[in-house]
Amino acid sequence: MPNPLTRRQRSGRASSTARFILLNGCLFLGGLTLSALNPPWLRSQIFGEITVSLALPLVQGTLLVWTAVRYDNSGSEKAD
Amino acid sequence: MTTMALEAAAPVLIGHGTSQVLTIGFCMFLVGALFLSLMADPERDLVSAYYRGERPLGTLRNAFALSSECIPAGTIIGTTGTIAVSGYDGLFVTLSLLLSLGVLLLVAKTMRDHGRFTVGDLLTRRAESPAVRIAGAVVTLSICVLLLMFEIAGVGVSTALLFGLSGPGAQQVLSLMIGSLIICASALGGMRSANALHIFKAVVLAAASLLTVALVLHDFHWSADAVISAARRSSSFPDRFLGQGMSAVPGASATTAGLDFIGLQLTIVLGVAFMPHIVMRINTTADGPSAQRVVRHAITITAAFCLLAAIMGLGAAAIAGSRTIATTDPGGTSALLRLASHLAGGASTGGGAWFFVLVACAVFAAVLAASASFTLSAAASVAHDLRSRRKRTRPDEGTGVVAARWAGVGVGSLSMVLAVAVQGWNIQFLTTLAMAIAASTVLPALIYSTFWTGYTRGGLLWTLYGGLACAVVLQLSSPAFSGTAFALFPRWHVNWYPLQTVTLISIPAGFLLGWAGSLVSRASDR
Repeated sequence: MPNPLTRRQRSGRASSTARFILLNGCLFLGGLTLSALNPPWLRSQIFGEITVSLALPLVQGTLLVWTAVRYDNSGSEKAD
Repeated sequence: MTTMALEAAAPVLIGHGTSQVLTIGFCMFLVGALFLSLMADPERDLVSAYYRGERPLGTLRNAFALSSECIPAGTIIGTTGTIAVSGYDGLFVTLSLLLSLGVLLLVAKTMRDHGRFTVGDLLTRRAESPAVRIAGAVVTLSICVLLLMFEIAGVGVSTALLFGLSGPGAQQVLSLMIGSLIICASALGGMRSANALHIFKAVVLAAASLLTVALVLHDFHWSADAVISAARRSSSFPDRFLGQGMSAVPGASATTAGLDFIGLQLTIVLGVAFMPHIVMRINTTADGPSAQRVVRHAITITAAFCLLAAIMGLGAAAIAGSRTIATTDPGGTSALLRLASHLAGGASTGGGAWFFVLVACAVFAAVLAASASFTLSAAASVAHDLRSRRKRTRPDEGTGVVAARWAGVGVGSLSMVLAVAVQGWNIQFLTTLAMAIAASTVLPALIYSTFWTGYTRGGLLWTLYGGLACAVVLQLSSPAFSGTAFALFPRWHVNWYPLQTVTLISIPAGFLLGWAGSLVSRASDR
């Protein structure tokens, strides 16, 4: 009979993996598609000289660093 | 690096005063770096010590080394240059590089748990067979030889430029001389030497990048808005600089340009994580969780570098002029050295010359460290996968290390001869091709091996050889190889494939071939 704790651990790991892929993948593919299909949208100014094209990589990079820490921590907690 | 572009930039970069300081500083650096590499030679002739280092590095040091592996010299020069010339397109390349580490984070634990030294070890988890090891070695050698060629040809060009020499003859001699030193040092030292070089490179690169960024921001009174505004205004197309499409090939349709942009980003995101030297680096960690922890820290370090690269790229456009750089060098490969030269106070200054030397040394350290990793990966695949399979018995430790050293010298020499032969040609596409091969072969093989129980040895071989053939054939049929002014062979016309990048076709082909190969081999077994 499978160990229920192991199964829960496994499903928790899968959900953190799915969350990591969904958050980063969707933003990346969304940015990539919009960049290729609608270049003028990127030049929209947000504040000062900062445009969508500058903010997008910055937001994506920050999100990746944050989700990577959470992903790794979730793995370590389950291992403990 | 584009030879003609750097040659065109040479008179601007090097003044007489700078040249003397540069020669002294550079020679001191060269001797120091090679001495460091030889000092790091493993104390014991053990195969695992040669391929993985004597003992696992600490998490942070390994993260610095991994981050350094993901940012070779071509990337440092290429990304800052692309940002300077193409604005947003370059920024997205930097982002894709960072995201490739996100992909690596997802597979790091699996890679470490099932890997030992090489790509061949990783792939034989599903089917232990000499044919799979040979296929893994063929893929590894294809990638490493291409990358080594690019780095060695580049080091000849940039060193000739730094010494104020010009012409293919001088570049070829310098490629041979420095290439030989690099290959001997890499082959002797193994992973311990590569570790030392990568950490050394990371320190020098961080110092040079931080100083450059500080000087750029100081020039614009610490106003990011002023840097961005000046960069945009210096472009030939200020309105398009911060939008997608500046890096598109002249004359390409909007659809082709859009597909090429998407293809390039996917190549980087899906290719870098599966390169043989990255697989070897992951195998230097103690276990799966440690590998994941190392990648997580490497993401933070690489993110910091990407931010610095973005500021340096925009700074190069703002100070050296995006239009000026693009006129002599459409790829922007001279942008970083031009920026350093401007910040050092111009071509003939003596005072700022040491700053220029620091930047030049950072670039050279990057070449040295990257070459060491590529040589080691290639040597491991020959000595560990090909040689041990041929002998059918496990060789003893001493002969294993000797074989790896000779394999490193052999593969390095081959790459060096090829690099000298193509000196002066536009070989920029080789790095993209290497990433495309990794994404079209190792990625599908690893995903199928992990998630599909029906994946067979036949499917694995179809994936590896089919993905490799598809990527190479499409690249040889692309406008990067022939038929356009910027191609390797502009007068040849075999460019029936319309895109510069191949992964939009070759990655799905790798997956399809793996699936078809598994079905066929299972049917023939019945």
